[in-house]
Amino acid sequence: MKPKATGWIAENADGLGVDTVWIGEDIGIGQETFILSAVTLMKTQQVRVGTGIIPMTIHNISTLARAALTLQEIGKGRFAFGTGIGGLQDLQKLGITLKKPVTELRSTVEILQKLWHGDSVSAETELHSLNDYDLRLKEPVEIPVFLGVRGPQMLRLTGTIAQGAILSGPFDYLRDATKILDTAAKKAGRAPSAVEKVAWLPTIPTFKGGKEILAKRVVAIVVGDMPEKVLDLIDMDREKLDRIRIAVAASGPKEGAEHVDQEVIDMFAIAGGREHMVDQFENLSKLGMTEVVLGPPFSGDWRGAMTEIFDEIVRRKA
Amino acid sequence: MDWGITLNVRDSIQGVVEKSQIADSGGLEYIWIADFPSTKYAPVVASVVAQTSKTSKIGIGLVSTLLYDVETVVQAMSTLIESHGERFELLLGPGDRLGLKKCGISFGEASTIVERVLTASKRIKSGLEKEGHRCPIWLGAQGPKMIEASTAVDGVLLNYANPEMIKWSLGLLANHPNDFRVGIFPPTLISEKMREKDMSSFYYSTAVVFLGLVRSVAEKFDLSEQLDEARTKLKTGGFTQELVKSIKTPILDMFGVSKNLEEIKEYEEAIRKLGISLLVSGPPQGLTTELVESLVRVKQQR
Repeated sequence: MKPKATGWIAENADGLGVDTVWIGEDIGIGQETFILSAVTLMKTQQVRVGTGIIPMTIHNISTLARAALTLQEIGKGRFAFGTGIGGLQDLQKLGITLKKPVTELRSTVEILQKLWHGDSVSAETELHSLNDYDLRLKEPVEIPVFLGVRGPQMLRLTGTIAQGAILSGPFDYLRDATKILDTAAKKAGRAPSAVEKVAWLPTIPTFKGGKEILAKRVVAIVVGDMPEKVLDLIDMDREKLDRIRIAVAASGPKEGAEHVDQEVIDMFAIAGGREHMVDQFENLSKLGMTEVVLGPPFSGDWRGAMTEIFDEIVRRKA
Repeated sequence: MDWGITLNVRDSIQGVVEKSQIADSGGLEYIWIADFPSTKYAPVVASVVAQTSKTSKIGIGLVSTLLYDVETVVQAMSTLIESHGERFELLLGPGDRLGLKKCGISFGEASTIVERVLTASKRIKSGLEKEGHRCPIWLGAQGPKMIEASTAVDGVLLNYANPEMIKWSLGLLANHPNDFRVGIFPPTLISEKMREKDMSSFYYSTAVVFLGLVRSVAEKFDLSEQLDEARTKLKTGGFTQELVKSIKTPILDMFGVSKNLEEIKEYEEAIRKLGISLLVSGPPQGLTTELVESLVRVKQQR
């Protein structure tokens, strides 16, 4: 997104009633995430600003620690550090492979937490190496860590060590993921509520210039890319999903979209009119999600659509 | 001659904001935001400075081309420029060897370091040009190879203060392009009156530069013996106040600018005549608000 678009979000976030602005890193594309986070923190007074997510695989760990520390100081408690392994396809392009991704993510989070605590750290992981490095802190700094995760091991790790999970997947998957997170939290002696659950699904308004066909195409792509293991969790006619996957693989999302109906849209995305979208947010809340991200793809008069959706949320809260 | 101040060495964000506003409203042409090993991430701090100041150019660096890849630097500078306008300049170099080692980054083969920094710098320059951004790039240099290599970018910031050393450095740049700029960024203490505490910080900073002096330069200026002696003490006893005191003051004075109002007028004129167009005040000048205010006052009165 261009600064004009992200600037509009930052300037209006407080007024709209947004709880968090999440800023993701699309490797090598778009604005630099830490700077955009700083700009957003400086333009807002109330909202939390989080990175959602920064791939910990492509930055030196000292940079992650320093950047988060800087943003935490700017935000005075309004910053959340979202991280994760990163998209596998992106990492493959960069020649990055991890033998033990869960172990690596655990180690990275633990190192960062020690550095923010003020400790001097020496550590060797698959990706990171520190030799008696510290941030010269006078006192410990608390920075909430959110992990962008999917598989059960990663979810258990998140429930054990993180302050939040950023989840993406169909509704049925989110239901199961919540259970895993809560169980892991309890096992680690934490309250399930100690782990926030952020749902990040494609959100496509079909009003204010937003088109239903875009929603169908996006969902076709999502279904086409979805791992088999996740599809197995879904309580839905599997043949219907397979028809979409086959069409996407053979001819692309346009053809795949022809097999997408409202049931499929409602499983994989949040799309429709204002009231329907907010109904879906409420359904996610019932599944245990503590926050829902209204995010890309941005099309049509997305500013107008976003304003109407938040108005509806505020109206229902009242 | 343009004047600048280096911030973000040990500052809080609020401290950087306050000092940069003093520098900006006081007419300093540049605010330089130090990066690693500073604990605050310079591109983010630079964004804050851009949002809280008006006219000063904002330099970022020294940015280590070993710590950050080319794409990351291009993306960060592009974001800063797109968000806040063309106020930014970039100082590149290999970075602090010991600090980088702590983060698992190896300097690699010493004989190729200049070439690697230069390659990265050219790619960054080209990447920013492709994005349509104007962002002058400087190389930080002390050794003769890096000084010579710097003509491939837009300017060089020399880690020297002594006019004889500056003159020697400029001799290495005989064939530089017309719009090429040469500046210096030594430890600096410019103030109407010198306080003992500030002088102590000044000599601490100059000792750091002296101890890191390139061997060939030490030989050229007949400093090898004193350098070896100081480095032996560093190895055995670490970096202490005693070590700093053991280095003769005239030697330390060669590596920093410690001047009052009258002295700075003379010094500025001398280095301007040599071809220096930018004086970036390094530590301890930016360490306290009082010293930044002193710098601004002296600049205005000179």
